[in-house]
Parts: sequence; structure tokens; C-alpha cells
Amino acid sequence: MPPNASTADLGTALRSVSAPHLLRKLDRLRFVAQHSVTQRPGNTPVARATQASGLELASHKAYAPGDDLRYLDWNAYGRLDQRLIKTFRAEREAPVHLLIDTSASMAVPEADGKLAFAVGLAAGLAYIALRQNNPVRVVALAPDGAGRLSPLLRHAQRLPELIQFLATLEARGTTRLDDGVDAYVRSTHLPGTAVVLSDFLVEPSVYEHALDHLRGRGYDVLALRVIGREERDPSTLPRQVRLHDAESGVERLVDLTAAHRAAYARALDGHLARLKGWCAARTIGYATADTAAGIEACLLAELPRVGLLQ
Amino acid sequence: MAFVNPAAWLFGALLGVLIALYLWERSRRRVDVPSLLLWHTVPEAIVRTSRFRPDWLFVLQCLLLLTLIAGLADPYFVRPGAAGPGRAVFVLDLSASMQAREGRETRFDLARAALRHRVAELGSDDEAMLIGAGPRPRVVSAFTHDHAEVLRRLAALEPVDARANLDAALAIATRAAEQPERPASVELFTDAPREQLAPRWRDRVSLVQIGETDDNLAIEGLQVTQGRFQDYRDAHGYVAVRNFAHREAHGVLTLQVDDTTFSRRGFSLGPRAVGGFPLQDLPAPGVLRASLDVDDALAVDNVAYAYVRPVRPLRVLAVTESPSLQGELQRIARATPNLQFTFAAPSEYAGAAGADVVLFHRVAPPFPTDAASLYVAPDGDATPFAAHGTFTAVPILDWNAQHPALAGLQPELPFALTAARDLDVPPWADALLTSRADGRPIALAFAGEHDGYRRAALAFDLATDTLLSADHVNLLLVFLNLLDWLAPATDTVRIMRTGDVEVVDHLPARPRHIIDPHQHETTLPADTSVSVDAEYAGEYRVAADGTSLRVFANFLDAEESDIGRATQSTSNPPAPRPGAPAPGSQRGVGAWLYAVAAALMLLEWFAARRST
Repeated sequence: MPPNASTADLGTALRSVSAPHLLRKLDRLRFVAQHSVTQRPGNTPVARATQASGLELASHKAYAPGDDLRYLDWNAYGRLDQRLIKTFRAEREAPVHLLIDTSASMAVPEADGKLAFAVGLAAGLAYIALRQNNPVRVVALAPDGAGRLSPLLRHAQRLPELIQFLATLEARGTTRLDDGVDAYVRSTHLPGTAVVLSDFLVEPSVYEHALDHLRGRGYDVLALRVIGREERDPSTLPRQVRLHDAESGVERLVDLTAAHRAAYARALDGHLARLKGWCAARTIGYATADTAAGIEACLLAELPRVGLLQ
Repeated sequence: MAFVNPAAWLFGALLGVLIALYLWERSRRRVDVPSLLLWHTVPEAIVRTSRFRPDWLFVLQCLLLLTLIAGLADPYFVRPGAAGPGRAVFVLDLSASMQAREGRETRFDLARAALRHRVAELGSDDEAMLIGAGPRPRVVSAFTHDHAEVLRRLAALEPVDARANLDAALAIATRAAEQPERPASVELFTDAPREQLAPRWRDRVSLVQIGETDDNLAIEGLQVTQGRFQDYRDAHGYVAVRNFAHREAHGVLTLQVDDTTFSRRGFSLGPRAVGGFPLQDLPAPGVLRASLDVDDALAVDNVAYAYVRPVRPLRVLAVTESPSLQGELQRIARATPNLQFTFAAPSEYAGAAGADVVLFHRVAPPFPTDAASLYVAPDGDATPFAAHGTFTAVPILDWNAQHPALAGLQPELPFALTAARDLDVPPWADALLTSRADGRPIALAFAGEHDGYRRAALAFDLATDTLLSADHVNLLLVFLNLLDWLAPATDTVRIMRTGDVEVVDHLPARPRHIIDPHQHETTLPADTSVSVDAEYAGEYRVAADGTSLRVFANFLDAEESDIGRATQSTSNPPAPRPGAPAPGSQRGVGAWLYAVAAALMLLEWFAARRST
């Protein structure tokens, strides 16, 4: 039976996200909506989209009969003797879909704590989204492909409900990234920002299919590759060891020479580079979430750097 | 380099266990990985993992184990010029007190086990000598490298029922150890404390003292008093029982004559107390056996034997013409039961005629060939004693107290005699009473054995001064003792003490058989004198051609029965001990090895912690 992330680890991660000092920092962040927004008004400014009323001035247009005179720019009329109507930056509701890979590989190596890290990250993102009054849903990509869904939450007061849902997640079974994504997008018709938190340790065609599917359904997609120190550096493994695949159960006897360790490192770098390059080609956001760096660094530095938050 | 404990290398087999554990642990060393997707670039090991490829943690563990084993083996380097292999002389006390029980084992068993352990400690090049310290110490095994032979001979040793002559044993041991080029240590395994050793041994001998119990109730003495002419009904005796323990003891004293019990009495004795039990009204002559029914630590001193002689008259033929002497002798006969006198004139004498002793008065015929003889004031041409004249008013000045005929007597000297003849003492005789006359000593009485019978002569005349009257009671006792000595009772039972040697003579010239208390039979040639060397208490039977003699050996030794030992001491020998590094000549590195082992253990702990 593959190892599992302990409830204690999840609890620790969620408590670290709920720390007041971190919440105060998260209060200053917001999601950057790209394309996938609904028609429901909200607080998320939408680029290249305007509306008749709002807070942030976007542009002017020539007055036409029937326009609301409250938005006539009287200063411009005085200086230019032209009747211009002000238009505003559109602000819409931007749903956030947090898709967490809960396959058994997320619990291995145990010291990396990838699932706990992903859960903590998801809690932080959900908090940011709810503070913007954006709806949030967490999807646990389960082995059977159906997945476990949290309720679609729209208010920050319901954050504890989401936290409770996250605390029940556990890593088990094989990764069904494509099936899980397919099932989810068929079940919802509220495109928005989709953040896929996974180690992506599947064949490239699998994750490419899943991410393409999301993109094709109009989601703004961010692939968040969760990785830990031990996964990067297997030097602590014994020289002669039987490697056991946490998901498939297949074992492989290896004699870990220095050359073999280097070969693994090259394979990992190739895997990451391929994922990153593929995402870049599809205008899919990509970020590496290193568990060693911590949740706070990822939320405050890495995700704003890739443009998910600002 | 040599090793104090080379047997420790047997623990090297643990290396095999370590390797087996390592292989077993390696076979079950499985690590979970998220996916084998990235490991496909690493070739799967099939053949190489089947080979034994130890990691450095395993190497550290092997080094740690080897270092510990080496430390246990205690290697040492012999400095140049130091002595070679050592030698040890082991002296094992075989005395009776070593039979004392200490729990389930006897002191002797404990001492033998300690000695066996000590021999096992010897190095293969060390020599060992074993001396058994009994009443007569003997070298059980001379110096030898064959330790197995020493152990085999040690296993055959048993304690005896007598006191050990530790002094002689240690003298033998130290003499054997005193070789300047190869000195040896002397180690004594005994229950005797160091204070009981002679002062000259106390600082020279290593002592392994064993035993401490004082639980012993012993027959300290068994005495039967029976005069030569007394019947068993007139005999009486005394049994002394001592409690050597420092607490009250209880027991039952059983008395038997020839296996017939005639008395059983219980008693209690306080700490270190002595109890006396008089013996009266003995039921019959025979072997008297006194035994204690008590469960104490030492059993050998719970039995003692004595002999009650049967009635046997002494017949004396007095060849005399003196009515006064005849009258004296008749009065003595009337007062002394079992002493019978018959009288004959010198002219009528024609042989002993069945008498045990022939008394010649003022005549000196040749020695009778069928009886012992006593010559009183011998005179005549055919006298067997050379006479040189007569002295008057001769006093008895001295007597031979060592002679059995005078044992126990204390004549009141000087005792004046009216006259005495000047007789030469024959070579086969010893002077009994002596005086001085004419500036030289003269013998007034002498006795010895000649022609197969005992002979004695008195140079003075018993009839002249009525010397046998009650006024001269000492001279009367000398006379009676002399008669008794001349015709000794031919008892078929003798009593002796363990540790002594009893000579048995007058046996037929046939092969002799000796059976000891343990029923071991020894057969001696006909021309060999028989002596009973009583190492064990109990009955020895000596037989030759139908003639048999029973010899009972008693263990009556208060010092040996006092088995309590207030202190226990085991001291190291002053001389270098073989089998162990000698100070100054050898340099041990065992402590350093343990230090290295501790360092390796720390290193391995850090390494193991880091690897996990």
C-alpha cells in the first residue's frame, strides 16, 4: 500500500496558511483575470473589456443619444467642446478552480510533503479569491477519475468550510489527470481560472491532454508543478535499492552509482523543461512550487511572478 | 603480539551473522518513489545486486565488531628481553575439611572448579604443575604444557580423611618454582586462611580460599580404658562431642558394639560447646562404634571406633626356688584377675608347658623356644647374658619412657636397690632402667626381641627387697607392664588415626591383601611388609593366608573439624601470573581497542543518522 500524507501534515500546512501575518499579506493580493470571466459583475477587473459604469476609468467614447449624462465628461466638453462619455474597466466575477492531484505519488517522498504543500497552497489561493468575492471550488482529482468536489463558495465566511474539505484529502491511487479533468469540465459550466496542482509524474501526453482540455473550454490555466528536495536529489537513497512505484506498485532494482544519479537528475530536468516549454507554447501558465521554499514564498513571490496574482 | 584470551576470537563467527543480517536487510531495502517514470534512464540491476557489495556503513559495523572482539581477546606485546611463557604451580588442599559442604557442593568441588578455571586461563605456552596436598603431599602432575592432562589428573583427585601437610606441599611447590631463569607462581587452593599458613609462605604464595560455613558437630574423642588384665565389664570409656558451630546444635549419639546398637541418646550443644558421654556397662567385647546422626557440613568426623578386648588370661611359669618370691607372685595373682602363675623348681623346668611367659629367677637357662621369657637376677654358667660382677646399693636413676613396657609410668627416682648385677645389654635389646656405677652407666633392666619371642632381664633380685610389695607400687607396675609387654595380646583389631601409618607384622609369608574403607583392594607380595596408610576413616582389612586383621582409622582432629572460616580471601599471586600480561614485561592494548570501538560506534551513529 502506497504511503499517505498524514492528517497532521495537512493540518500543519493549513494552520500555516491561516496564520494572521500571512493573511494580512494575502489581503494585498488578487487574481489577475485574463479571458475566462463570467458575465456576473464582480470585483475582478477584466482587461480589454469596458462597461458603462464602474470605478476605474478605461476610455471615452463619443456621446450618442440615450447615453447616461451622468458619465458625460464635462471637463473635456469645456476644453474641447466635444461631448464625450466615460467608459470604465469591466469588473466581473472570476471563478477559481483549484484542481489538486491526490494520487499516491503526491505523498512520496514522505519528507517532501507535496500533498500538504498543495493543500496549503490551495487554501491560500482560495482565501485570495474569496476576498475578491470570486467563487472558488476545489477539485480533488481522484483515482477513479470522478473526483471530489467542494461546494462552489462565493463568500469569505465560508472559507472554514473549504478548509475542512481540504483537511480530508488524502493521497492514494494512481494519477488520473486527464480523466479527472475531463469529468470536471463536463460537470461545470463556469469557466474561470484553473490551477492544476500536481507533480505531473505522468506521461506527457496525459498532462497535455488534460491541460489542453481545460484551455479549450476557456479556462485560464496554470500548471503548478509541486516538487520537493528529495525528489530533486536522490543522494540519500542507498547504493543498492529496490525502487517501489508508489502508484503502480512496480519495483525496480537499481544500483545507484554516481552516473545513475546524474542520469536521474537529467531525466528530471528534461521532464520539467518539457512541461514548461509545452505550457509556454500553449500560453498556459506554469510555475514550480518547491516545497522546500515554503507556501508563503510561493504565494507571495512565485505566483505573482508568473502573473497569476498581483 | 599475543593474546590473553585467544578464545575470544571465536566471537569472530559473529561476522557471519553480521553479513547475513546485512544481506537480509539489503534484500528488504525498498524505497518508495513517486513514479518510476524518471528512473527508466537508470538500468535495472539484476546481476550486480546479487554480488556482495558492502556499503561503507557495513564496513564501519564490521570494523566495530572486529575491534570489540580484539579488545576482548586482550592482545599484548611482549617487550624485548621479557620472560618467556609463564609457569604456575597449583597446590590443591586434599584435607578432610575440604569435604565440608558449602551449599550443594563441597569445598573441594569449588576449589577444583576454581583451579580448572585457572588452568583454562593459561596460555598455550604456559607450563603447569599440580600438587596434591594430603597428609603426604605428592606431585600429581609435573610441569607440562599439556593442560588437558593436568585437568584429567585434577579430575581424579579426591580429598582424604586426614589433615593435609600444607607446609610440606608448599615446600615442594616453592622448590619447584625456584628456577632463576624461569620463575613460577605458586597458587594454593584451600579452605585454610592465610593466617594458618606458616609465616614463610604467607608472602610467597597466592591463596584462593574457599569455604566459610562452621556447621559441624564432631566426635572429638573416643576413649576406652581397659587394663591388660581387665574384663570388658570393667572397661569404661568416654565420648567427647564438640559443636564447632557458632549456634546451638542438636544430634543423636548412637553406640554400637559389633553392629549391635546398645545406646542412642539425643543431645543439644551450645555454640562452640563440648559434651561428654561416659561409656559404662559395655555389653560385650568387640568393635565399639560411636556415630552422630546429624546433618552437618562435614560427615567424616561423625563416626569413631574403639576396641573392647575380650578376656584372655596371661599364664606365667615362674622357675624359682625362692618361697618369698613365690609368695609375692601369688599375692599379685590373687589381686590381678586373668594373671595366672605356676611355679617350678629349676631342676624341674622342662619347657614352657603352655605358659605365655617363663620367669627365670636366679637361674639363666638358654632362651625357651616356645614362649617369651623374663630373667630376674640371672646367674649361672649358661646364662645368655654376659655378667661382669655385682654392684651393691645401686639406685635406679633413669628409665626409658619411650619403651612400650614403661609407657605411662613415672617411677619415683632415685630408687635404691640393694644389689644389682652388671649385665651387658645385648644388641637386640633396649635398656629400660639405668643407673651409674663405677663411673659408667649400667643397665638394670633391658628388653628386646630374640628368636621370635620377646625377652627381658632384670639385673636386680625381686625377692631380696620384696620389691613387689605394695610399698614399691611403681616397681610392681613395671613388673606387670613388663609381663604384659612380653606376651602382648594378639588382638585382631587395631585402632589408629587417619594420617598415621600402622605397621602390621607377624603375618604369614603369603601374599597380603589390604582392603580400604572404599573397598579398594591392594595385594602385596609375601616378602613385603604391610603398613596401613590410613588416608580414609573406616575399616581396613588386612589378610594373609587365613590370618586377618581389622584396622579402624578414626578421624579425630579438632583443628580440622573446626571448619568455620571467618574471612574469605583471594589474593593475587606475588609472582607474575601465567596467562596474564605481567606488569612491566607486557604492554596490553585492549583498552585502546575499546576506545577505538567507542569512536567507531560514534562514527557509525552519525553515519546512520545522516543516511536516514
